[in-house]
Amino acid sequence: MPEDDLIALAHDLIRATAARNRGVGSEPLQTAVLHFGQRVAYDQPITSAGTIVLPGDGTWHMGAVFTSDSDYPFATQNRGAVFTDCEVSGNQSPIPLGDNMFFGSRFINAVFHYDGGRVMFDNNKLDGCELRLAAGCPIDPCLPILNLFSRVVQE
Amino acid sequence: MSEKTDQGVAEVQHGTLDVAVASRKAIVVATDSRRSGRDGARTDDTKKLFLLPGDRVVAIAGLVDASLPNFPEITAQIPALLEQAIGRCGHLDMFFWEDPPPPADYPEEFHHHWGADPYIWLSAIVGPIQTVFNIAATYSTVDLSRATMDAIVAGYRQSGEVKLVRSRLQPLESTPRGGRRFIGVARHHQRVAPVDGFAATTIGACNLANALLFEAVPVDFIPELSSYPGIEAF
Repeated sequence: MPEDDLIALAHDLIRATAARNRGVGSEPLQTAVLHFGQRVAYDQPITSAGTIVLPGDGTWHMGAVFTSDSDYPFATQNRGAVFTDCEVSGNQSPIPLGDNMFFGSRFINAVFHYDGGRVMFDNNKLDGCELRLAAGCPIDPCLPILNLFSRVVQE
Repeated sequence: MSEKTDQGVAEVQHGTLDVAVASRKAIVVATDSRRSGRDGARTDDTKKLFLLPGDRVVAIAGLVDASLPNFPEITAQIPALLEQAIGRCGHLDMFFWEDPPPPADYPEEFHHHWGADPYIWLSAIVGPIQTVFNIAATYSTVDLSRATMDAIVAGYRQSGEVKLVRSRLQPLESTPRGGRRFIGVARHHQRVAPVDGFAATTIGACNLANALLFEAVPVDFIPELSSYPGIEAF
């Protein structure tokens, strides 16, 4: 089939489907035409792919277990880490509470530190945990979860 | 926030029909731009066709955005993630794009793994997707029935052979182990074989397109056929 016929076929298949299915749009169409050994002819009317909130090269702790033996250096890691369905017990390096994300995790005798930033902490279970609050740091973001901690220490 | 709250299932938006058709002379890949939310909202502003190194392209359909409504920070915007991943590692699959045979000393029992999951740029977006779904699962059961992302990878091998591959990222709930729920993301890749110099594949809302490409013109479509000269000529 000639190139023009291929383009017309692809576009018509989309438009015919769009006429019957509102999940498919008739315009604008994005099209690429490839020939062997040539640059792609790329008709892309959408200029932006959108924004990235959680980068693909971020830190994802999924179901990870951190025991007191592991001595994981929570305090020195980049913020923005996500802890989902994790378990932390007896950590020596305090876990920064601000600007990290904690969901569905279990913390046993764990130590947290708050020195600012957004608190995203939900559906977690805490047992015997301590929260250390940095001197002079507004604690308003922590207030909704303060009651989860066995000890809250103002530095 | 201290109590278990219901965030609802992760907001999942999807839509689209992607079509790839190829003859010996050219490959054409086309997609719409629609995004459909669970709430019925539709927009035509979503980038779904991307250039890959090696004069190749990839088109996506299905899942384009998974997010938690109350935590705007936690979202997996597939087009943006894919574009970033292609920029970082889009060239790393070029070795396997040429379908090299396994080395002579490669154990026979592992041959089916050789080049079986070559698209590192696609694997690179699994982390955010998996994380959003697993966070959503800490609130309530996640409906994974419409969470699949499909892709068509198209290009030529160095020999000039047309190569079309259908790929899929499919979130799946695993068998609970130790009481922990876990949603993983399976990856599948399937080569589309040309027949008599013509190859075609579709992803997304493709029932009508597949009928027209591979079967017969549906009876209820015949009155509309003349409105679509590209289909009529085919």
